[in-house]
Amino acid sequence: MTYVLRRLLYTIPIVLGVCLIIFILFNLVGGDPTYQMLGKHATAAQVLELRHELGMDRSKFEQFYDYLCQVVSFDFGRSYSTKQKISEMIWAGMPASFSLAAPAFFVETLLSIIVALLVSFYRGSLFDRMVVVGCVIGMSISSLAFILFGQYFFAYYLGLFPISGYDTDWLLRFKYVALPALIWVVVGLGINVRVFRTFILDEVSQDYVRTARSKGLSEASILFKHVLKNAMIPILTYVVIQIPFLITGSFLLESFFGIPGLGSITIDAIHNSDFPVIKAMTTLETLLFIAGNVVTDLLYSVVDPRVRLK
Amino acid sequence: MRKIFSTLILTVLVFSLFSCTRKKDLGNVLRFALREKIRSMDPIKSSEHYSSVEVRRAYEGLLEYHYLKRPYVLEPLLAESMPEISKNGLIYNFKIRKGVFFQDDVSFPLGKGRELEAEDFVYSLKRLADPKNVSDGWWILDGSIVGLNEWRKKADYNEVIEGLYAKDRYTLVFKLTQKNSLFLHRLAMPFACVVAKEVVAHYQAEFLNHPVGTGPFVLESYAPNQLIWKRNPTYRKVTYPSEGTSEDKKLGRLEDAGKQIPFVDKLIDDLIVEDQPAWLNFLQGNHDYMMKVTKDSATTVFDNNHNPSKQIRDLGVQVFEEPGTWFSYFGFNMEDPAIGGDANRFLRKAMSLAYDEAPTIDKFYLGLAVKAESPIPPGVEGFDAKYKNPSREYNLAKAREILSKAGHEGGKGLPKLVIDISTDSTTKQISEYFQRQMSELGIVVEINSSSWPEFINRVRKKQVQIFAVSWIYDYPDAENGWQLLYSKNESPGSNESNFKNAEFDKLYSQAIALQPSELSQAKKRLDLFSKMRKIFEDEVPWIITVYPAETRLAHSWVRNFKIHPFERMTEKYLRVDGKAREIALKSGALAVGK
Repeated sequence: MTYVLRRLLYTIPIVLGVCLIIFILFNLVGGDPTYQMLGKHATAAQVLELRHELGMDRSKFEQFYDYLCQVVSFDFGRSYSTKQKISEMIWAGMPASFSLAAPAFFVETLLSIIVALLVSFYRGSLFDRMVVVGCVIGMSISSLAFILFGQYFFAYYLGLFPISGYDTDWLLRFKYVALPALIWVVVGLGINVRVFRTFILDEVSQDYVRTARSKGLSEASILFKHVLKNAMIPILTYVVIQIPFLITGSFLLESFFGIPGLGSITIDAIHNSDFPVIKAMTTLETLLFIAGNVVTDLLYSVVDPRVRLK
Repeated sequence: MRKIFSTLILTVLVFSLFSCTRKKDLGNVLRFALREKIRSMDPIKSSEHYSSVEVRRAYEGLLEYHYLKRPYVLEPLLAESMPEISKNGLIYNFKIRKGVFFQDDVSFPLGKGRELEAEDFVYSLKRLADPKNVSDGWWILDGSIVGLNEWRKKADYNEVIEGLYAKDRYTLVFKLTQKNSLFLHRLAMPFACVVAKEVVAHYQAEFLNHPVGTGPFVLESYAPNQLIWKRNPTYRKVTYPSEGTSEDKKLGRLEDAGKQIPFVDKLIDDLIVEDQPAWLNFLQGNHDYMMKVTKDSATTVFDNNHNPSKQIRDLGVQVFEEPGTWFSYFGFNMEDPAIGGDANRFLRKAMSLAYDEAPTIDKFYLGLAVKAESPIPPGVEGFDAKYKNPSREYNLAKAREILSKAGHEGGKGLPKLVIDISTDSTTKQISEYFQRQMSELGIVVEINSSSWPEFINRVRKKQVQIFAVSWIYDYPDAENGWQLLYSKNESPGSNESNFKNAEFDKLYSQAIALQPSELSQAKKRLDLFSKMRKIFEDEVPWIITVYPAETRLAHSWVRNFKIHPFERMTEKYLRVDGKAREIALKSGALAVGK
């Protein structure tokens, strides 16, 4: 309990530091959004009026204080461009992002573990080498290329999936997220298989594996019963830390497939210099990342009883 | 292990189950792709193209442009007729159409929309002027109406304004500060659409997401990726135009003359920002028309001779092309000591003469643009097809001669110049071409590329030397091009070159006081524009490059389609031939990419 509290307390200066960096980026370094917001016929007087309306004429200290209050209350006000409540935009975007990311992430992880186990089982064989080469090729190709090809070939040419779109109905939405989810899986497979294969091979060289072999256990039994169990610790760490980002979705996939998730909200905000939304999304990502780290640390001790919290 | 495999197989099966493509909606529905997110459906915040399109589905103003006539003609919409204008040209009396009702909405008692009154226009225009609303459309009224600028100081809606009031329930009066030939054009813009006070009060900050006007369509649903509009059941009787051009007659656009509009029951606007899905959705027949032919799709749409390709003709897609009412230019910041002012006039002229835009038309605009000579594009009254700008001929020898006369032979003594651009790939390529062209004169140009917001900031703060931009006309009057050089519009206004010339300003002020609708004044106005053009030639505040064309695509089953660059509500005139659509979709040619 003390460890948990201490771990949570550590996050406060981290959050404050990140908030300061975000504030500096958007309020001091970043451009002035008023010119873009006022359109092509702006006047100097209107620029001043809008800066006042947005509170940009207040001292930087006041603005930073306001921002901290927003982070604490998680109320980032309204979007500059759409004037919608940002908290409502985030709540509305989360299910869409999650609908795409959750199944894709699940399948991607599962498939990666299976393939990694198989290549570890056949390590050094032609199959292993072919998979490793395939993974490197997959990692080298831009995800944009997968998206463009997948959308053209499977959705347009073969007509197997809708080209783009989304449905708020929980069941119907899966026909829209099916193709982007498959692309997600393919894009992520290369790196995951390589990482997981390394984790598994690290275990294979351990003493207990040698002991098991000397006791006459089969390779399959060693790999799937003993090695997998131990390799799950680094795999779990690797996987759990990614879970918070499932909510924020994938920028490119959401944008290309018209999925109104948090990724596409962020892209729109960047295009429109919608600083409150960008700030909110950056802060959300940061908080989720920190939360993910804390949870991973805690889970680590649960999965591996040898690890003691100090 | 078996469990893992079972789960995997089950997951794949679930995906396959849902991945079959949707049956197409064959109802009396028009569907198209919105290429940008809608920022607002509040008329006073509708400066972006797609926002203004959505605004005009629900809202209407006093005037609109005739859908078919060319040159563009204004006609009454919510006004009963065109206004009575006093002899001195300062007082405009509008009679408002009787029996026009706002759409039914919970903001009204019993949910029934009430009748439109002249007072609604007074309120709506006050909203536009109210500084608290920070409208990006305030410029259409700024300085035009007696007492309105003063009213802004308190913005008290109960205060009566001398130049803007309702004389009676159906009469709206404007008193102008000076004669203004643009006033009616500006009233036809979506910014000046009428809203109901009750609806604004009811929805408050969320008003921009709840459009309730007098228009032909009612918003049925609004999701972040889709807007669905249905026909307004209480829409008054409005008929399809019976006049048009000879081309309209030839293309059958007058066959629906006199029939009640709108024709379609529903409009579905899908938000698709990326080019590829928008293009594939159109090709597959999911969308009925396309508002923009992108560079990538243009290679499929057109053959090498810039005619519709065989694939497009085989699909029966209608290709529409009109001269664009916009132009691109490289602006010089006239306040920059290295490039601006009278001292650098010859440098600017030499640069202008050394720039050959011809290769860019083929390479970057795929032949869908023509060389620009002045800020008056084709399609706008005053455009002179015979006019050749002497500063815009491509003549490298002459450019070198002028540069050496200015004491900069081979670029000698000139600092490195910087061109600011936004980070889109075409602008970057065009700027690199510009850079190469200038190197022919020995002038070194560096490219500073930044995001659009950052670029706009630098331009509006006068931090640039040379910049690459385009101007899209707001209304079909040459003034809209010339005002880009009017000194009072300097940055952060539309005069981004910060060009200042007293003679030019004088001519501009005289020109806008003349009514182009009166023949004698129209001629005088054109003379004044010619004199302004001469100053433009001599001073070279920009290198004006091209007039890109407007291109749109519509499937064979869409009837009455016509490009109108100024009228945002064109869907009320479109008709879907359901039978033709069904046949085309059943034929299978559109369903897959064959």
